[in-house]
Amino acid sequence: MNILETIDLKKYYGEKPNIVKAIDGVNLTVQKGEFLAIVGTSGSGKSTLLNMLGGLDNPTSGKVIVTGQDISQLSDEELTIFRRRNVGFVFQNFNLVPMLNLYENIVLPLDLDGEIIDERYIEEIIELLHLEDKKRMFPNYLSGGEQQRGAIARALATKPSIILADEPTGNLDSKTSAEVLGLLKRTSGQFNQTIVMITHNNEIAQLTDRIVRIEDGRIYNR
Amino acid sequence: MMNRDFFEMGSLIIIGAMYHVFLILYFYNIRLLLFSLIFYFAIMLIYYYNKKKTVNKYMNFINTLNNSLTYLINRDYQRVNKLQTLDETFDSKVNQKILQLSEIWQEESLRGLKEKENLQSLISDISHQVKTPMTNLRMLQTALAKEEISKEEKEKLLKSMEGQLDKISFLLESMIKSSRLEIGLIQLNKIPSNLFDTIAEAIAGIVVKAEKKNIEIVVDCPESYILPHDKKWTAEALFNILENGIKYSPYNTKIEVKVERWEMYTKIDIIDEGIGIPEEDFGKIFKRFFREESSYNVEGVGIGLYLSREIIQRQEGYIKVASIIGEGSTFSVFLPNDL
Repeated sequence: MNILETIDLKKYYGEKPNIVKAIDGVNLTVQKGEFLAIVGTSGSGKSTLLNMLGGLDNPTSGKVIVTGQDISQLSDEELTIFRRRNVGFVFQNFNLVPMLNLYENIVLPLDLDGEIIDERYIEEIIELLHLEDKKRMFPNYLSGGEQQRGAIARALATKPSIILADEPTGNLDSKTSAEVLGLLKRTSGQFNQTIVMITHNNEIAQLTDRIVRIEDGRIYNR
Repeated sequence: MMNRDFFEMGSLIIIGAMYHVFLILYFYNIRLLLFSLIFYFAIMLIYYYNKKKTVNKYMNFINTLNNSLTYLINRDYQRVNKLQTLDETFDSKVNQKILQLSEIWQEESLRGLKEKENLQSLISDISHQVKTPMTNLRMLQTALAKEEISKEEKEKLLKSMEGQLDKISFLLESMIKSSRLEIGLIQLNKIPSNLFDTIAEAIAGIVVKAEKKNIEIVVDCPESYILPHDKKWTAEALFNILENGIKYSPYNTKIEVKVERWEMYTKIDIIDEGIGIPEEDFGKIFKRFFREESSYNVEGVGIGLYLSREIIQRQEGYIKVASIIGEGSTFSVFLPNDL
């Protein structure tokens, strides 16, 4: 079952003759439960692509279909709701709210939408990510790896259709990276969670189920 | 519902009537009475319409909900996908839940199919692989059947037949192993046991091959290292990696097995001084029947590393590889420290 599909996706910046083709005709499908890596160097268009997959940006042309809905032409307001209900984000710089403790951070997206908190599921995530002892601590007192694990837990909390991870280990040392990625992979398997990860690092990408390469705004399935 | 409405309206009319009787008896004034009556009916009318409107609104909502649920039951996913989910309204929230439910359903109905497909592709892969040695065997047999064959030639042919037979039996064994793993016939038993023994078991299987190439094997692991893992299958996974390392290592080199405990994972490094793997193949070498272009002169079918990855993944661990061409490769096996 395709959870995500892009059809001839294009994103151009500027005007002729100085047009910049950030994304140039990308066709990509992602299956439910798949852990996909998009690998590319900086400037290859990978972040632009991720922004459009997550409804952070509108494409110039083409379609982005997430769980059957075309999100490419939605208004900003609709995109906000779409993101909150369908997409989990994991960023390079963690983006936890410093005034809330870790547990509050994790359940924040649920609180915002006025949803019931599935305590059993949340506890399961926290246990899997080895955060039991850190639940009541504030982000500033946590190490980078712990913060990123918290951010992964937050992304999982809403059981989103898809989790988008933009260089999730970009700010971590190689040892912590390996551990965090191992856990990310484990959550993907255990909860059948679809994850799309962007990275420039081949060593990290090999942990995923599938790797696609992006160069100059085009996808290469190698 | 009808009764309650009737009672409510009735009581309002009775209260109104009583009020007007009271007006007539104590403040008799025709203008006041008329005004009061009009006012009373106006309020009654507004009340009545508002109520009807609210009831209609809720009935509509329940009706749409009923329709959406019907789409879901009928598996009319196209209609389900068209439900409005991007408003800050209650309807939209409920629609979102219905959409999620449809996703879960679709996924569950697809899961069995996917497993079946996996198995099918495994079987077709294997049968494809078995074909080549089978054809070879047949050719060798035809050659043997000729009468004017010298003794030396006969021995040579028999020897290559033996090689082909070995290949077939190895392939079949691999197929049985991986298909059992894949359909879940084999349950891995993660129980706390000594990793050192497991590594020793894996090494015991390749010692002869290593000695033939004069490859030294160095182990850096505490003699008592308790880790939850499946002994038999983990040994198999490590054995496959080690065997692979020996296959692609030149004579008189070294293979190191190093165990390191991290916060959440235990890392087992297997470091060889072999020919190395190009970076773009890192993700591919664990695929079934993948073989590097440069390795076609080395014997093998490309199922060992695939099996290793399956085994480690089934224990919630993972494998990765780092390598420099010409200097060697490091396979890192990560197994979780907890159960």
